[in-house]
Amino acid sequence: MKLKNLVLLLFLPFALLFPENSRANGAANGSLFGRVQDANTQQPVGWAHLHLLELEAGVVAHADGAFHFLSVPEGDYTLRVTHLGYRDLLQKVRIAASDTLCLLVDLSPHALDLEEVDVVVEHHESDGSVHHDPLLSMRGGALQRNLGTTIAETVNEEPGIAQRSMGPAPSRPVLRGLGGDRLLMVEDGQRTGDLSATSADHAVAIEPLTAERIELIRGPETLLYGPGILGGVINVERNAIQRLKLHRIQGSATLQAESVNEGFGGGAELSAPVGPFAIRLDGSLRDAKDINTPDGRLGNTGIATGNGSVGISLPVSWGVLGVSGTIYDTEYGIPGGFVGAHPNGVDIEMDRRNYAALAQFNLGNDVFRRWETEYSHARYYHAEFESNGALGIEFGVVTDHLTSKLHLGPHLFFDDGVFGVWGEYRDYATGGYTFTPATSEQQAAVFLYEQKRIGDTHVQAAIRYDWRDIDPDREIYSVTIDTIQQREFSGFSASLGVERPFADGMTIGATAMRSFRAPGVEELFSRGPHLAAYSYEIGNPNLQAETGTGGEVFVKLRKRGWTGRLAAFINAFDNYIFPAFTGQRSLSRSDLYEYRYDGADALMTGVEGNLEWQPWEMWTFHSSLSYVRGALTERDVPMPQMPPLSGRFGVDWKWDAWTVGALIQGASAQERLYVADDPDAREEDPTAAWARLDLHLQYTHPWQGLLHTMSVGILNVTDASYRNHLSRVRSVMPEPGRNIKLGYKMYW
Amino acid sequence: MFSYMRWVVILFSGLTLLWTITGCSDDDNPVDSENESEHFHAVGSKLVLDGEDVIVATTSDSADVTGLIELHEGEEVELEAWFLNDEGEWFYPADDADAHADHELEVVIGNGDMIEGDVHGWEVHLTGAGEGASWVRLRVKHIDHYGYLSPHLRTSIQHEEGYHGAPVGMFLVAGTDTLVHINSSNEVTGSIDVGAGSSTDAITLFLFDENDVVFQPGDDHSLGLVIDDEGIATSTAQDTWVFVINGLAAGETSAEFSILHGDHSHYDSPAVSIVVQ
Repeated sequence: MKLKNLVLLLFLPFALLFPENSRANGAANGSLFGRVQDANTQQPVGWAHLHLLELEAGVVAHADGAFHFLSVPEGDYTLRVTHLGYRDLLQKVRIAASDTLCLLVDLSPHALDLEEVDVVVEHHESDGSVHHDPLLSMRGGALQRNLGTTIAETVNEEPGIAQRSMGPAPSRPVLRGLGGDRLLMVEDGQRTGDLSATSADHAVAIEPLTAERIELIRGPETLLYGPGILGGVINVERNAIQRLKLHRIQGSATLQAESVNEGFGGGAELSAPVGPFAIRLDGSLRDAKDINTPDGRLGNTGIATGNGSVGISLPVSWGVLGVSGTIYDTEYGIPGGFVGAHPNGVDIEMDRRNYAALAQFNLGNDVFRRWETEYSHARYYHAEFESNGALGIEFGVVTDHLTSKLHLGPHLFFDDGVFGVWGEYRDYATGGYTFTPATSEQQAAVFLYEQKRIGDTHVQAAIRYDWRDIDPDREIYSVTIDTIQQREFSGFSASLGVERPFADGMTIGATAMRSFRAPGVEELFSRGPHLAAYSYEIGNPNLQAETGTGGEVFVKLRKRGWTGRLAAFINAFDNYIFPAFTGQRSLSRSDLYEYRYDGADALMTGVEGNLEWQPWEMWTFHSSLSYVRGALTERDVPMPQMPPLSGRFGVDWKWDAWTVGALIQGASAQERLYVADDPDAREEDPTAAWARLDLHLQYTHPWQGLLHTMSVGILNVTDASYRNHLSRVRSVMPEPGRNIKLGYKMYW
Repeated sequence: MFSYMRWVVILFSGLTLLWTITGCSDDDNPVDSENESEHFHAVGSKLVLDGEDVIVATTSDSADVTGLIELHEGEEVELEAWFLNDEGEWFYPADDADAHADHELEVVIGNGDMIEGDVHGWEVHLTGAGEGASWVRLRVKHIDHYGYLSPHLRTSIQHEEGYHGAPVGMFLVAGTDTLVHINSSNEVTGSIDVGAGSSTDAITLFLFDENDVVFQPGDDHSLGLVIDDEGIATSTAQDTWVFVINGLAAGETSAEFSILHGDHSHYDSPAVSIVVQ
């Protein structure tokens, strides 16, 4: 049965389920009103972002600090409050039926607004657990200060994160050496339908300018999104479908300019109540020319992007119905000039249309609290052109996703959880100079995520079963890769996370995960040149599924003036699937090197940590360090494309509305290099150690009832010439040179 | 009786259904995989002589070459270049010239002292130049970049008495007299003299190669002789390489000689003067 038939079955009955005398009159819902203020001065703090995590719903406080959540279903929630210059705050709240909870939220000043979290437990009988605790949550001022051309550039300074790139436009994050679809990127919790996970030249079809929040999720919660994501999930929240009634019009506008590529971007988002509906609009434009590096201009690296979305929802007492549509169009260049490349580079045009529908029902039951079903349809097109305008290769992917989740309250042994099913139908086609066959894919999964607090110990567990069918449009015999034919995969994933305090301000924890990952179409069936990747890709239709077993132990520190996290991890893979650089030129395309998909046992180990010290109220020192070592165990050779040891050290000084900071970041040389199992093969190129200095200044000021935030950053102050080991164009040019970056954001 | 909210729910459900039905069909994929690529794509190649495979190279897991191009010094062969597509079918690009109009075959020579080669369309002409082992590679160029590159196709050139190289000059002999000599620079010495109403003695054509090896080509070659003004003189063949010139009327004209093999020429002489007295 196709997904659209499932959608029919799931959505049709909803209209008939709710008689007029049901809870639709809102009698069973409550409200949460309150005010945000500075913990020291008791002055109102305007434009704080407040989120009820369990509902995935948020509002922005007024200029006077007041906020309103209307028509909130009865239940216990985690309220997250964030604001530039203050510690994030997590607070448990209980909303009673037909009642209004009034709350005074005290925020503690802080020079940074990155990771630190104050946790307040209030209005909650059982001490409660944090339902949703992402490793990274970037929004507001931090998001603006780090805002880059891409999501990868925006989150690049976080511990453990590196940036895979092939020119600035198609960069994608890599965490602990894991990229591709082992580090899933989603928008509002849904897969985007793009092809960024499959090749270094494919851009992520998500625009950071209009993102409200970017979060990194690791551990058991990732199994809500997919089965094989040992790296984690990066969720970019736009909240296109608002889940709660809006009290007022709210929004923001962003402008950004940078010198290194004469780039300019602007975007705005607006949420407004219109009768019983909540409407959200956003749009952005971005244009940038070629990147300047200390060694010269890197040609054909410009990017032009347009992005927009509209969402309309009907938040009512019994739930939410909503639809949204998103358009993302971009044109960008892949530079040439290195071995295998077209001399003048390759131009890429890409567009994505995404439509989503959400139905959420508050079930009013202590065990079965909420049921939500989300359907999305994505149409993705991507074409790669030679410099003379000739089409090289084109991809078309039409994806339909359906996710249905039942949110559970206390049941059996557990405090709360989520049970869900997920399905995907994907129609994949290629044209031009490629011979990967048209393929249809069907995937389905069932998953269960549970949480329990036992004393001080917080336990999370998840299990997931996935099935995937990959069906080429016809069976083909290939001289290069053998017979291309239907493949079917299925397997379990599971994860367990435990965390408990063990000393004053210290928490220890551990996570274990087993992942299952079926190979993708490209890994199975590629057989030909990939124009913009400058590679000749050879799939393996006989690949088996990849399974991984990962573990992590960590210590968290949160004492007065000190916060930090230190983690050690190990990920062991059976049949780790990767495009092995053979070091040989293809005989079919003599100007391209061969990349042959293969599976091999692999072991990745590493450590990462960050430490922040606030000796005085206005001063904060912060640092981070990350290292991962990957090896293909059977041959005892390094895994390809592994990031080197990297670290950062910074200081921030905050005075009133001003924040000034400096950051030194760098990486060691990478000399552990992959080489194919062939005496004539050429190994990866090494990269040298590097360091660079960044400075930033940020000023936040309320004026005329609006909050204005301005930032100036000088990146790579010394114009240092350095190369990113994960960049495919590092043999041509170093990373961007000195860059003056201006940002302005206005909230209303 | 339906409430306001119920109508709204129905509206949303209807919109969702409509959108689902219209937006989810397979045929809205923006790419049609049936569109054939205009690019030349080969994973193997072979050289064919008179329908027989001389050497075959396939490139699946590793370069795999069977066969050997064996020539004698001075021997020349014309081979068709066939290619293997990824679905295991051999094709000869000249059979579908339009589809491969932007593509050009080139031959890469390992050691030019041993083997010489050039291409005519999708044919490879190879000539044994000197004794020894070498290789050639086939290469296909598409506008501004190279596509297929064959593995090394091994060649073996052997020296054998009686074998000669490509002709670089010729001479015409009547009895023991050399009437005409054309050197490797196409400089002509001598002429053919004949009386009006009479014929010359039998004239025999000899060729020589760059090593001054004198020879007459084999039976698969023929002589082309064109007289400019057949009102002054004509020719009569007596054997493949033997002819007489018949003087018809007093005057002067010229003759050009070609060594023909199939539909093309291996050697074309400059004009040789014929004087009829």
